[in-house]
Amino acid sequence: MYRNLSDSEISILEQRGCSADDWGTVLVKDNFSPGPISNAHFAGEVKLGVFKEKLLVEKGISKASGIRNSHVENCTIGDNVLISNVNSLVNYDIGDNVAIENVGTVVVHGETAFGNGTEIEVLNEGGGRELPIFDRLSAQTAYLLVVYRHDKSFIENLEKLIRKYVDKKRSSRGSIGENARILNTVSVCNVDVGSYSIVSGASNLEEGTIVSCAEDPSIIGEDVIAKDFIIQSGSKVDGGAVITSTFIGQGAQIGKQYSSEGSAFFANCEAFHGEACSLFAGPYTVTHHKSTLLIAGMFSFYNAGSGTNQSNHMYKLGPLHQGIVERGSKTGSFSYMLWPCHVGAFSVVMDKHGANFDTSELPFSYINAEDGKSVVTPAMNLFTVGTVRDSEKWPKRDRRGDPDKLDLINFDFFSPYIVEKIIRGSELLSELHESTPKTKEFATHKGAYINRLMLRTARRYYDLAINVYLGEKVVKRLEKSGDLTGMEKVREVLQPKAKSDDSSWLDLFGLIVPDSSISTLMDDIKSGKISSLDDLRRALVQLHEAYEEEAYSWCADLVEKRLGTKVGEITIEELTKIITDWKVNSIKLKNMVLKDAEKEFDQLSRIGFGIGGDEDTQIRDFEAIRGTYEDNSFVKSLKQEIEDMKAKTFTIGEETLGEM
Amino acid sequence: MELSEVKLKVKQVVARVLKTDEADISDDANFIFDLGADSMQSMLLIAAFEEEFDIEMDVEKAQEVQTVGGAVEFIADYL
Amino acid sequence: MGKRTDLHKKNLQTIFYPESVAIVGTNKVKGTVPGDIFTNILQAELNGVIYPVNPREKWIGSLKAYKYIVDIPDPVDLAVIVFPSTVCDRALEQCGEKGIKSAIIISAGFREIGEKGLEREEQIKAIAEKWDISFIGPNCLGVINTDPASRLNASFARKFPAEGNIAFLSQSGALCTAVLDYAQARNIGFSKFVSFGNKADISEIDLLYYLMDDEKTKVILLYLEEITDGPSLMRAARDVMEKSHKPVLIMKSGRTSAGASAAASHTGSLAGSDEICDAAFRQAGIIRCDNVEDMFNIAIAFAYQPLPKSEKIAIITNAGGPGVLTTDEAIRQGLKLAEFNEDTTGKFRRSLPTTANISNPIDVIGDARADRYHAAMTGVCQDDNVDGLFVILTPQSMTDIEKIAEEIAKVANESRKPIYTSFMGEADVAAGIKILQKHHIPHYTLPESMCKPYAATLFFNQMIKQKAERPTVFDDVEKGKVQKVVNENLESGKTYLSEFKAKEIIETYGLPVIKSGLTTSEKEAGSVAESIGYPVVMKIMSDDIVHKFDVDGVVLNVRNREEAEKTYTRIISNVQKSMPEAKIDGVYIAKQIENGTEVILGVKRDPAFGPVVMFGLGGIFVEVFKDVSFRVAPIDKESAVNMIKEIKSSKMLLGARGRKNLDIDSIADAIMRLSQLALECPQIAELDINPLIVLEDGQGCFVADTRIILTN
Repeated sequence: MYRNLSDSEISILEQRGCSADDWGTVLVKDNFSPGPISNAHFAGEVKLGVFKEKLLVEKGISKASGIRNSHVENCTIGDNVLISNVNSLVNYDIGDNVAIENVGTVVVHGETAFGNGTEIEVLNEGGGRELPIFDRLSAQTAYLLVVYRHDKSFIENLEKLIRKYVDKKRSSRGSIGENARILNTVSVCNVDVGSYSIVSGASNLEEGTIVSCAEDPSIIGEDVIAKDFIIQSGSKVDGGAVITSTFIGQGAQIGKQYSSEGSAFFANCEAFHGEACSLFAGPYTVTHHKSTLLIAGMFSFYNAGSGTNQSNHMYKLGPLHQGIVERGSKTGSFSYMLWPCHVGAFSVVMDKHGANFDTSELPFSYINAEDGKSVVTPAMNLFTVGTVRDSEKWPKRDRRGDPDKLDLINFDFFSPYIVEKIIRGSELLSELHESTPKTKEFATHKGAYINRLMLRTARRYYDLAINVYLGEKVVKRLEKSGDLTGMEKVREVLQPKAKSDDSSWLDLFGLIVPDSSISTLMDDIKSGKISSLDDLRRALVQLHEAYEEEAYSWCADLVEKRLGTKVGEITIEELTKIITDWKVNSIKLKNMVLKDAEKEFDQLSRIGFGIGGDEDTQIRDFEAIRGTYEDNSFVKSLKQEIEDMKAKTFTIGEETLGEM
Repeated sequence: MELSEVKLKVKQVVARVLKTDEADISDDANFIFDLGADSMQSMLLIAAFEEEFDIEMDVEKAQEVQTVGGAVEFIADYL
Repeated sequence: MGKRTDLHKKNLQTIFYPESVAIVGTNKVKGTVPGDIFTNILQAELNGVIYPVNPREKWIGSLKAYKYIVDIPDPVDLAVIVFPSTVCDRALEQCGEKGIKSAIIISAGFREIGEKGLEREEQIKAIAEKWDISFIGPNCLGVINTDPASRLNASFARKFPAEGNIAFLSQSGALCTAVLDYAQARNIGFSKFVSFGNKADISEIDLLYYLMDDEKTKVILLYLEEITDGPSLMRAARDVMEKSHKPVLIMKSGRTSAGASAAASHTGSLAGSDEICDAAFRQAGIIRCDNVEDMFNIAIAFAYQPLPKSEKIAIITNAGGPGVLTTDEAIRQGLKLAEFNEDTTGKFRRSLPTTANISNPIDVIGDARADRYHAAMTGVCQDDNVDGLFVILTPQSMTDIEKIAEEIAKVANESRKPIYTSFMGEADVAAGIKILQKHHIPHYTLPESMCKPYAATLFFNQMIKQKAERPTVFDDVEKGKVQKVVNENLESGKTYLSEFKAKEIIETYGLPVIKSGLTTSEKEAGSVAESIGYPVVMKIMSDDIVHKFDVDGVVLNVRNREEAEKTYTRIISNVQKSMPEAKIDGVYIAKQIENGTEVILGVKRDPAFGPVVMFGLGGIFVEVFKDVSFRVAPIDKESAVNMIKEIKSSKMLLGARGRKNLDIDSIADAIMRLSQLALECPQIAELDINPLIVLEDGQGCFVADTRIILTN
């Protein structure tokens, strides 16, 4: 494949201003031609491909391949590569059709794992939840590593698997994948650059891996400084972002002077203008605005309003504390929380909170500050425009184009995880209503204050949501099955196929799964049954795929508990009631959302208006609600849904159920 | 319950929830325009009326009521 | 102009330049719309007094708050209403009591939410009429005036834009925030910025008339989702253009919505609402833009540079490729590469290297620095053959980008010719672009993007030089007779008028109709054919038969009486065989014109613009190529002639390939008469004349076939 240069070739090269420490260590492919090479110096062992074709370097600009004005040392260079004005290119294997132009240094020093294995101190700034990052890290694996620290044996075994994987990455040679571009960049040191990736105008990249592929290239843009990092495929980091000890997942976007330290961002995160420190950001964590700090917190499916802030310092003890903000929540402009706090799912935090509160049992809440108190209004965010639109937007905004999607994301809005929380919330409100005397304005629970008058109303809303969920699951099951010839068939369809245990459900950064399944998984890791990261991935995928049936099975159990109906033995009267109640409740729910859409501006409705959301969400919400009537607005489509629902019926054999 | 009693209780509740003087609450006072209730306070008012009169109202319809007088009539229908 | 329109003109001045503003329904809560509007007005440093109005608060933002508007002791110029929609009527009523004549209603919850909201909207309109109040909105983002004499930010947009001479009006509040952000990134400033929402009272038409006289505004941009009164919009834009020489650029959404009906008429199916909108805009001198980028690309050309005198441009570039790309696009946009005079060429020979290309485009070569650009630019600017200049730069290692930018700014300052630039790339040229933007030299990311703005400014310059003609009103028409025929048919439930009846109508409007007659017997056919003169064409006449050829119901070239009689029988027999259930009125006989060119004319009633006339060449030109032109009625002579000339195949009419010129004037006359008919007879929903047969110059034209669709 490779041969030595001929004398005439050397002569031509020298005439063209080229030189080498030793021409004998410069090997070339058979049909190599020296023409495209000028003013290049070769050192160490160099292998050169054939430079025949032009390549499209950047938009609108094609250039001839070749090596010009560069120092190349210990590199293997593929075909049709352009290396131009590169001060030092050392210890790299370079794929075909790569362009490296106007770059200071692209070097590998010593042995490195290219960012793999770097431990980043997420969630707890003082350490204690170190997350070893690597190029195939998924949100779920990260979650297990960070959250299950109490199980030492599990952690040790999992870390061993990771170390094994990372060891294979160690090398004293880096690679630049085919069709990659490194342009106008100051320095790239100990970085693996994936195929089709674009590094353009960056400042310094050090100790990292840029994963990229043809279907979903990664882009590192102007003035980026990155050290100890992993950037997964389809990501975009630009606009002067400064990232240190940071993991960036697939389809994430970091830019506009964002700075990040000790943080992990998983799939489809967006971070602009602000700052992250020990941030553990699950999928769809979005922070767009200036003066926004996310520190020592765990977030997912989250939107940060401008000026969002937290503190993790206790007076004398240092940066100990952490915060958890469960999926779907938002923080309003200039909101602040003193950690530790635990914010329940799909809640909205506004104002400044110095009292540490825990609203994990009260999902869909508004949390305001009033006279120094953290006042929670539970369930208010259940029937708002913002919540409904959020449920629709995430699947549409999955930017990942890589066929190998690492983070397992369940977009089910009302999942068993959430419904469990709602059930618990309803029970809690009932308990509080019983125990709080009428003379008191507020009931209190784990640092939060709830207006006593809202306890019953909120509980009604929670119960409405549960009823809608149950009805919907049953109805969807029926709809999926097609022709329902009679009640026999109905019972067969409704009978769950998976077994349900009493296990509660978990949200592992997008993977929704029974606790018992995770316990089994952890045991398998401890026992060695799962002996590689590939095994782990397969196991997680299996859990993800089992969701539908397991969730339905859980729901069937719940139907029995709450409605007294065994779905596998359901009578036509019971089915009729379920369908009719579902329709009535769903229409009620949708009408409440419509009401929210009509409401304006004040404390409640601004939430539905994209408050605390990214400007894009605000704009979309605004557009949806405030467009002209002729627009296909959110309101119009919701009204249509109500009409469709009213007209919906089910034919079971000869009977038609659900007529209104 | 007599309508006058309903009215009295309604005003008491409004004054309590909106933290305003009963004397400032006229029969035709508009909750938003005259009494400055936002929609959170509207929710609290509905809950307070329910508790005061021991009724469960259709919240959707209740939210359409705009004035104190309207609230008196709306609640009276449930009694 | 109506009374309300005059009122709006007066009150808009107060809306934009209030000395006192009441924010009605505001609160202390940051992040809410009422709270943020207050903050925005305060932070923009309004040149006036602010009065917060809130039923519960004693103060807001350190300013005394008032429970009701009527509690404010001083006069108030402008009310910005942010109460929930359910109580906006009360707020507006109090404004009236207080004597406030100008308002901006930000609140949503009106027409856009449906019936209930529409009722509320009607209510506030009635209150406004009662008190002579003019309001913008409801359901809008608000109003911004960057004039230092005002500094009004009565909106809840995050940003207060830089001062500039471009006014932006939008029906969509959401687009406003995106536009503000876009413009800021490009250092583009605004004079006035208005989101007018539901336009329940003040519409874009009122705003156009206001901006016509606004000294601070040089260019007007408008985003519309719907056009409610097309003719008024056209009139307003035309007035603005003619009286103040300010261009109106409109971005209208819904380009791809299916507006073309599956109507029985050709015109109906060809005249999609978007094509008509395009034509109407062009007719009014409005420049239509495809998207925000397109709109600003064109706006900055108008705002920053003089209008060009001709289509002759010069291109200066330091890279061949981009120069060629730009040339291609320039030609596509109807521009021409100027030929330099000898003096200029001589200058270039002396000042540019031998390797430079000194014809147009001028390639100053990759290693060009500021001096070469200077030489090329000054040479070009001094050449009378050149009326516009495009300067392209690609960043090479020796290119002194910032110096070149400064040089361009200097030359532009001294020249009366428009100069546009394109510094290709991003990071390397950023500083240079900033310099250009600072000096108001239009800059475009891609060099090809310079062409469309130039073409737009040229089009505009040509439009303002044209004198608007008053459309001819023909007095030899029988309007009453037409109404009678139309009413009779509508009363009997007939909305489709076939050839015979339709011809009756158009003949009364002076359109020349071929000699013809309807016959109901063999013998009658013979005698009518004799009276018309041969050859004749014979067609079945039946309301139930639309496609006569398909049922063998048409025979051409009938040359004598005997043939006419036999053909009558044959036609009747053919039709009875293929469509036995069809009700036959008879056989229609018309003179067959043997030498003539077929064109098609049509009328369609557009919901936004009203009656629209269509013209095209017949046959495949309209069937396959859809090569047609439109104008909104009324149509003057010049517009009618332009309609004919602007179709792609117009050369067929104007003596191409050895043909003689056709009688264009007669077509134009027919178009104008049709336009008048469409305006005076609103029951005509669609009308087709297919074909209109046009003879050589001086020999006129004849309507060969026509049909009309009526509406109640």
